[in-house]
Amino acid sequence: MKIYLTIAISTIKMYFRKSQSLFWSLFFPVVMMLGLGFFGFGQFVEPKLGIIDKSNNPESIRFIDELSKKSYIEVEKISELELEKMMLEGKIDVALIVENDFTLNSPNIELSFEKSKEKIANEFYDISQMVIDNMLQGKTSKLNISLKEQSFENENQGYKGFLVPGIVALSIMQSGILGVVFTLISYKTQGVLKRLQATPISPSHFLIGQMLSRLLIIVIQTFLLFFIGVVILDINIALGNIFAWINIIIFSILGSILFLLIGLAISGASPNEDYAAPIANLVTFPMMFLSGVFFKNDILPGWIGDIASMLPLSPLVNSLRESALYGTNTLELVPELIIIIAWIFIAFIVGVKTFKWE
Amino acid sequence: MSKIQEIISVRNLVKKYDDFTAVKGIDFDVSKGEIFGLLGPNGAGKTTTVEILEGLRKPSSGYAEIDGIDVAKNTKEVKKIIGVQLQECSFFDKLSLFEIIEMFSVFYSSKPDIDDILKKVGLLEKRNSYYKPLSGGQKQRLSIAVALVNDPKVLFLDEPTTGLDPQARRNMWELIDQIRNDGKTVILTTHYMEEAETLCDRVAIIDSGEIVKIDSPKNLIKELINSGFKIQKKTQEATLEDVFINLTGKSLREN
Repeated sequence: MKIYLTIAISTIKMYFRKSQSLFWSLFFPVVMMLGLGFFGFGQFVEPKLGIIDKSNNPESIRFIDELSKKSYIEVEKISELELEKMMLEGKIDVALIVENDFTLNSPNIELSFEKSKEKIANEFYDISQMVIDNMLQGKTSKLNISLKEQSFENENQGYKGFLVPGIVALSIMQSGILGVVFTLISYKTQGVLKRLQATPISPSHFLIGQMLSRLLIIVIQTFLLFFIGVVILDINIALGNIFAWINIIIFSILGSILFLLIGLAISGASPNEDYAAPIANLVTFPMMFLSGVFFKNDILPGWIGDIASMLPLSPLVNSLRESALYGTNTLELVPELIIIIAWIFIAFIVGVKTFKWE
Repeated sequence: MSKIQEIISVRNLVKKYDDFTAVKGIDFDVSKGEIFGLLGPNGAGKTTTVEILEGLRKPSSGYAEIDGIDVAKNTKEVKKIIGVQLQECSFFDKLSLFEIIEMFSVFYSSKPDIDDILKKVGLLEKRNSYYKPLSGGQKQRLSIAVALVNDPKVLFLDEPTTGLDPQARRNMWELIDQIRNDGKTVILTTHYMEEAETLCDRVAIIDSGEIVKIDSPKNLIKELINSGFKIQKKTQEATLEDVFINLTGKSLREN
């Protein structure tokens, strides 16, 4: 026990004395979060329109049908009761309310949105107008569209809220894989591991001690990054839902274990630094872009999307995002849990099979 | 006849790799308290032999024991009573020398006076610095300091002076001599014949995995001379190294 403790304390000391490790695990993700968060890449995602049809007459139904045919927007019929919740959770960007007295000749609709979505609302304004003009085939109508800027309580999220959990998951992967690969490879090539082998403790003690302290560091890093997101980017973690925090703890621990093991497997498979860096990049790079860190991976074409959602990072991104944005119940995240645990097994077996001390 | 107490016995030790045999059935004994040298060209099997004794490699056949403990069977027990300085090894960076020694003490479950060890190897004033910026000689001395944490009965030094400048080398010789005076047995491998001649009570000369000869350096030289060997040049009273040391002084060139 004392051996593990000594190794863990020493590892943590070394970690914090190394300026690069702090740079990659904290500074870099924060810069990325702030940069992308303020810049707002949300427009890359298809804007989502929630429609409340108050009049429900044949003309309004036709209008909504026409609107739904547009491939560049996503349309969903919602009830008035759902409106606020869906806006809050970012499931829709703008709400289109078809007023009671709606007719094609006197279209009376309202667009409701929060401030950050003004641009999207303007697009919907133009699209609605275009659709109605097309339906009337040249006949002009007295269009009556009112734009209503609403501020929802807990005014939220938007792309920032989407991005932060993604970056947090990405950092878990980077710290897990790169931290382990570069430390272990340098210990291996410099002969540190060999020297440990000459002591009465088994080197696996050392490895376990290392992994445990890194696990702790990554979990701390996860919470710190979320905290920075809350303080600086003003995002809201799951509207105060306790499930959010439970999920974040569970998934950050499982994610750390997974990527530490993948790091171990990579260090085992690579004979020296010359191989380790390219292999580590080869593993992390595709996931960075395919696992939904920066944009939803449902914009990927069919089979690529299917494969992408099975990559080790995808379930971590999903589960952290679901938890942080909606406080999703842990039970609903069981599919993600299964994929992560399956990968943990695979990485563990590969790691144990390939790892060599020299 | 007083029997000398053997602390290491090696019998018919063999180490085979896939396509070649590194150690071909060697025998030797090391007495308690002596400095025993293993000499030989690169690839002769010195390091393999030492690493079997250190418990880092398993012998293919044969037997070796240290202080009565079977090296192949009770590797862990052997590791507890020996100190090891490896030929190519390194220590954790971003830990102070004190912390490194402290960490290794825990691995050996021993509680040495760390400052005392640092003082012995001449690194006390470096106790708070990191490993990386140390000079070659200082790194070797730290390696010996770490090897001393468990107050070992036998100390293995694998080429401890390779790559050191003459001052650092002589300083290392003094340290090794001092360790012997503390009553420890030292197994030393080296390429430097002068080093072996100065330090070793006995040497084993190994070539191609076999021991060619074991004796004290003095006897080996005497035997060679008796066989009619004559050095071609007239014997000099001093060597170039003596000139070098005389001109540059004995003090260590490192901070």
